[in-house]
Amino acid sequence: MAAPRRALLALGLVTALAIAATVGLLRVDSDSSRLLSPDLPFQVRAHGLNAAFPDLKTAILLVVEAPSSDAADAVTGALTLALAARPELAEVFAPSADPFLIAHGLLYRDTGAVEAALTALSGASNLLAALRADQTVDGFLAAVDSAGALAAGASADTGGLDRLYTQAAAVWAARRSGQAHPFAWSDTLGDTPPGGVVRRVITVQPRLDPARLSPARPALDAIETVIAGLDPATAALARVAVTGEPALRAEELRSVTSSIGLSFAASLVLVGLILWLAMRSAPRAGLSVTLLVVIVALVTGFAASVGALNLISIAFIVLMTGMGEDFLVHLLLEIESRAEAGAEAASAAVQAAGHLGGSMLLAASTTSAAFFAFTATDFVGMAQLGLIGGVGVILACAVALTAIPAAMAIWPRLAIPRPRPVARAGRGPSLRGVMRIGVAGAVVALIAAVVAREARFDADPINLRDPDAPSVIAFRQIAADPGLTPYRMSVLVDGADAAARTAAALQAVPEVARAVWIGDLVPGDQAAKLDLIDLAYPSLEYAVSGVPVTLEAPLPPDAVRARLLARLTVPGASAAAQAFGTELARGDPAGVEGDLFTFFPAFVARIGASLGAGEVTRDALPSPLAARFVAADGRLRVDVTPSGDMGEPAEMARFVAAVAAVAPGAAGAPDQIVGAARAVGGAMILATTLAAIAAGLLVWIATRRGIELVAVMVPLVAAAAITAAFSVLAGVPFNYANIIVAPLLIGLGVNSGIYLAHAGRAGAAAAFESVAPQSILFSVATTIAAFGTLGFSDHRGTASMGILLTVALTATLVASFTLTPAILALGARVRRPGRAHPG
Amino acid sequence: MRAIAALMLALFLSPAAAATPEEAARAAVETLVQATHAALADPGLAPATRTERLTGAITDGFALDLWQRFLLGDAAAGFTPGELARFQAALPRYLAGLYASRFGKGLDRQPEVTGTRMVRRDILVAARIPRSDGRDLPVEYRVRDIPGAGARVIDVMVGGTSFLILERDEFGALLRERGVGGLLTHLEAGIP
Repeated sequence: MAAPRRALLALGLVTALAIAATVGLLRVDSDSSRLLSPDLPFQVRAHGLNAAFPDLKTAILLVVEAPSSDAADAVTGALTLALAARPELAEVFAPSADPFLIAHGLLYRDTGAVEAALTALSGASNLLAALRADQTVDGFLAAVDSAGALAAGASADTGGLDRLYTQAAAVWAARRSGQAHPFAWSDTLGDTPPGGVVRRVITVQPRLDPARLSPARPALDAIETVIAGLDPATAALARVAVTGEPALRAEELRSVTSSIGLSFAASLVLVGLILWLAMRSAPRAGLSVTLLVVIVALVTGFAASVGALNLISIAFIVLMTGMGEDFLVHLLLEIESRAEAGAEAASAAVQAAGHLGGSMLLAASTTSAAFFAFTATDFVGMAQLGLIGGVGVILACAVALTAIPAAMAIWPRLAIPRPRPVARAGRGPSLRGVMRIGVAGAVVALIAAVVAREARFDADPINLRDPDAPSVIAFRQIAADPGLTPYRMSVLVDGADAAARTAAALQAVPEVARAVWIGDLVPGDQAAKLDLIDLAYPSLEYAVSGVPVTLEAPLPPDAVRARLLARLTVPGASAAAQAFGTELARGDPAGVEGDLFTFFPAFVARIGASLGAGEVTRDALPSPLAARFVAADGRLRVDVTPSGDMGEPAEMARFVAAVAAVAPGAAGAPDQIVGAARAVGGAMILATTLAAIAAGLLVWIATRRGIELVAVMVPLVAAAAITAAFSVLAGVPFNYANIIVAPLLIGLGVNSGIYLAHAGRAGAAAAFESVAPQSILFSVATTIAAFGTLGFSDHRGTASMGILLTVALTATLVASFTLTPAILALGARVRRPGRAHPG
Repeated sequence: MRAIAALMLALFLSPAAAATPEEAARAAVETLVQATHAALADPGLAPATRTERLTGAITDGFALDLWQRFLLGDAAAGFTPGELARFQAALPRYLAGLYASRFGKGLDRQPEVTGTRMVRRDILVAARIPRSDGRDLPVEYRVRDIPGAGARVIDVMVGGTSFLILERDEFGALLRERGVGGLLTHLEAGIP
């Protein structure tokens, strides 16, 4: 009696040490780019880019979306001003709010667009001067009336006036329905017709706090405060979303943890129910749960001492819950079976350990060997999980084989059998039945193997995240915008000539939308554009400071309104004029005056700023803009954006290959995603091959029976094929979160095969009559119950892990139950032709 | 010695040499508006003679090379020498017609130059052109000192709206829609 107590005491002490190690040493590195070997070529390229331009990766992006340029610029300007005052932010840059770029904005458009814009402004200069002089509804109507009279008198094109009428009609109509529609001056008097969504981006460099789990948290909080602090009228003008790597990570953490409580509670209830069904006794179920906690604690202690865990190795908890429960359930059910047959508790435990110990040790050896096979790959994340899992399986087996007999010796009542709520299988199926089931299983596995060839690894971190998270929605919006997409590549070169050559070569590639270097930020055809600006200079000056010309003696406002109304609604007037006339005839709803002039001062100020436009040189560019293209060491970055849809893996691969063909050193998110997918695919093939060889060798060494080797390995391959086929058919590709199914499938698959093969030595049907099927069923069901609920998580990666775990474990169960007995039966017939099992 | 004295006297008496840029610009615009007013307001002139005199005033007062450059822009490269010659021949008469249509309605009073101001490298000369309703139309003439030619009008503006830009827009549309031939036909037809 003393030895069992000492054994449990020792286990308790070791567990306490493991918990202490966990508290003191456990660290997690959430950077998915460090899941793969830093020596891989694409990792080396990415590191080079990050070292030269560290700000590219840490930038937070504010995406402002509004129905008009004026609204977008108003909100962007207000945000930029407020953000610049926050000490948590190192730098704030918005091209649309930058004074230099506002003044020289015309030069960044093509010459034809500059001419069109200046022609429109020149034609509208007297209108603008009149509006500056009288910013009331009457002043607006008088200016419009005068402009209409001038246009009619000069037989001029009334297209510009029609846009003005349309916009005015929208202002009146919106106010009449109780909504605000501020007059979009820039879009109406510019050369771009109003409509659609206008998007602006503010780039913020956070001051990172390395002491925090989320170093950008203070900056993100400051940004949230600034957005919340916008005055309601300005805030109502646009939608603002925050994205960029720091924001995505912060929201990812939130989405991972948001439903974890509910998931945990559901898992607890389900696991408790299954263990009660399996054990038929609360004390035995309690012992099982307690020892499972001990196993997880021991392995966590070991994991903490290995080094910083990563996004994949952190999933060892899932792995050890499944594997730990497997050993515990098998042994406890075997003990119960012995006790049912009349053995004393201690003796039942010893008998069970003696009967199953060999299989358990073989299972532990093969599974840990399979896990250790993962350490031989470049997939650093999985290699670490392999190491932890390999050691963890041995620990789990040791705990089961020592603690359970010790507990049974100390508390014999734990072994007392209770009435079984779920009847045992009893007599197994006939040989013919076994073979039929086996054939059916084989057919399913073969079909699955064909489909499984299409399985792929999705290495894009964005696809792991909650698609409804604001940062992810904003990310996808800018990803669809060729000018803003984060799926861009960079080429680092020495000198302007090389940069210009590289950009030109890349620009000729069909997969490339734009290839830009800092030289391209100096506008082209400046002489012609400056000539045009010079030509329009007096008109622009007049618009911002001239005294309006009136062609007639002032009329009373009512008379102006009546005359304008008559002109707008005269037969033959344009549809836009008619629409405004109709609105005007219904009177002026409250708020129209404010809406007419909300953006007018800013619009006039922008025209005024353009009066200062002069030649743009590279040295004159705003420093935040230049810093994106010139590294501290003087190297130049060529920025390359894709022409295709980066949501399509094949298009992304084509883009990366096309860029690499011109510039082999190109780096960036697409290169990392494509490179990672290939590296992980290669690593998984290597690891599973090594794992299968190691497991097969150990099974062969332990049993010396070829048929048992086949009976263990074939269902494993079949389960893997079914899981991969499901991944293809359900559109749930493998990713950094759900790739955990691979080692778990190997572990539980090998274990299940060994137990069934062991039980089936007396004949295929005997396998079904033993306690093994029930043990396997409950072991797998417990793991599914523990982690299948993750399938309901908002976090797509976590959800896919829950779904694929459920599918993989079910496939393991089905493959083991259908194929293992059939293979054993087939083996028996081959060895003893003509003799059939009596069942 | 007598020759030198005569040369110095000639230089002293020359208005171009003595005038500031603003004064030269003002003088050029005064000459232009008086000449155009004289041509438009004389009821005894035959229409052809009126047009001839008006065209002459425009030719003398406007920097027609610059007008051509701005009106055609890059499209000039698509003109044959013959087409360019037709354009250059038709332009003064066309501008004269345009001028008459805009400013030839209140001819009972003399136009008046009211002031000058610098705008970048040019000078804006403000004038009041009488209208038929008895009111004055404020017009600004943009004048540039053209080397070898002196102060010449490069644009005319009313209420900030540039004639040059409006016509450039119209010419561009004609070239796009009807080609060089269409533009020349339009130009040669003149403003009625």
